Amino acid sequence: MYKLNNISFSYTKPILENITLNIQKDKFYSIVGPNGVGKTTLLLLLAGLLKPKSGNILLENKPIDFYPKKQLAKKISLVSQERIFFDYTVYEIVSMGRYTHKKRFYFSIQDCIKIDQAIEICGLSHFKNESILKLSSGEYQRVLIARSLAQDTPILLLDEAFSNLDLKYILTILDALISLNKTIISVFHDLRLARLADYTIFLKNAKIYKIISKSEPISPVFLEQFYEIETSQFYNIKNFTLI
Amino acid sequence: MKRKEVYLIVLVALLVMAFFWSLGLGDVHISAKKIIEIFENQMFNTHNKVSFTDKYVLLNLRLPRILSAMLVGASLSLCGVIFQAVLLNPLADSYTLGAASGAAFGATLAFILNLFYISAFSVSLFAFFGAVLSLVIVLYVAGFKSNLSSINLIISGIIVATIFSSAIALLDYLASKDVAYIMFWLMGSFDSSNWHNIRILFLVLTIVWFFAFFWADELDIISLNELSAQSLGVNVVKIRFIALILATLLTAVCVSSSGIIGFIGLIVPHIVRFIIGPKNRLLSIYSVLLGALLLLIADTFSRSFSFQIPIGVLTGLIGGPFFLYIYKIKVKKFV
Repeated sequence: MYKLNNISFSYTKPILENITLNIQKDKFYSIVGPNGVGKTTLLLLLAGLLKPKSGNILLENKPIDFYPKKQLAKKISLVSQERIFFDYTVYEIVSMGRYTHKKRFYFSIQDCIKIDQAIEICGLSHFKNESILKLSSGEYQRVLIARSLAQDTPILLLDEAFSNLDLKYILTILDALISLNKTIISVFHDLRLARLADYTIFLKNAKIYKIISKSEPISPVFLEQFYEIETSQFYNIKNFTLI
Repeated sequence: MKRKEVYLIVLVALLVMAFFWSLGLGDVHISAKKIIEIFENQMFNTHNKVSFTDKYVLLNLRLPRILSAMLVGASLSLCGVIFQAVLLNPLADSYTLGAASGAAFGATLAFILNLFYISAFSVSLFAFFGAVLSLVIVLYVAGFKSNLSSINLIISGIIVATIFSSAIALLDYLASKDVAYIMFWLMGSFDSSNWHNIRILFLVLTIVWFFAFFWADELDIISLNELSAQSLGVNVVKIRFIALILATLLTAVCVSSSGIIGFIGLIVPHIVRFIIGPKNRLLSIYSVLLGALLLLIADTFSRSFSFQIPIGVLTGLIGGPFFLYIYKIKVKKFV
């Protein structure tokens, strides 16, 4: 699906250096790493919203900046951390996901079906006409996820989209996403959640530290080195590897 | 859906009623029947008996003034809708962004340099450049790219507006000729309304309205967040650029025809959003109608006193407190 060749990116200091990565179709990838390591930057590069300073990104064997914006939005959707200022209803926000598909002045039946499905999956049916500004942070995140589901793209990029959700919704939504055969790349803070993915990408010091598949166990020593923590503190989070 | 249609019908009906009410009102009272007779004569070449005074007052004094008020009200409201959407800021309008003051500066410069005699468009053109200049400064100072905080934008808007107001005062002071009429025009007035201005206003308003209506989905999405707008497939840079240019142009045309009229562009979209929601396609229709209605009523009041209150002063007196109220709520909510 994706091929990243020697990607580097920097603002004032280098954020990402010589990242080379192959993303396979319909697999679930998680990205973890310390704060400020460039997780979000990597996601934005994959979304085509940032341009790498060097290296190139191939999406289905074509450079990502060859795709027109609308075309790209049919392939990739992004759930980012955002604030909304106007009191749109839940339904209105989710239906914006259909922007690239819809006709200018109306929604097709197909559009409406996709919107309703997305709302259903994210458990928003009973307050779809509520104002977005009145929701709790978890409900709000589910609206943003629903919007990208309505966008109906094969690739889904999530930037800590689950951080305020309770476990029930995380699992139901993830289940639904996986059953929809999507390529998912998600940034996580919580290592336990990250390990639900097929592959976990560990980012550190602007580089890929290691990629570990779901079946591979993570050794305490590895985590100790990766997070630079003491063994005595480490005992408490040992269970992370069990899920 | 039904409720929205009812509001639309009510709004149009009120606008038509206010139009005839305002036409009849003034030192010379003209009844609705006479008004219709005069219009009939004009449009269908009928020969209803009407007095010359009535006809003159109606067609040459009141009608241009009323149309100007409606067009300016509609235009400023539409500017508010567009500015608020593309700057993700519920407090933005031509006035709070300083664009109106910049336009006024440009127009004053054109007046004082006597450019009016070269071409009637030069005032609008200078107003446009003034408005663009002030908007560029405001967006630059507010840190347009990095942070779109409401407070930043409004504070820089106020600072820039103050600078331009002082610059206008300086121009007036330095100008050797009589500047009383410039001062009066700046306070907002429809006294000097003429058909030429009305035509320009109507043309520009139509163009900008068509943009807002046609690209309403894009405006909706841009009003959420730049990053997600891009990932949803909207060409944010292009749409935002066109929107800012068009809204600034419309502001400039308004200011050069009737001076600075504050807050109408801020209040109207707020009221409409409160009633029918924030979708820009509906906002663009309802705001234009409500803006026309409110400014027409305000102007009719302003000319019905024994002395005339400048319309800008009136909207400032009513709109200012309303702005404070919104500001208080929004600041609590968002900052």
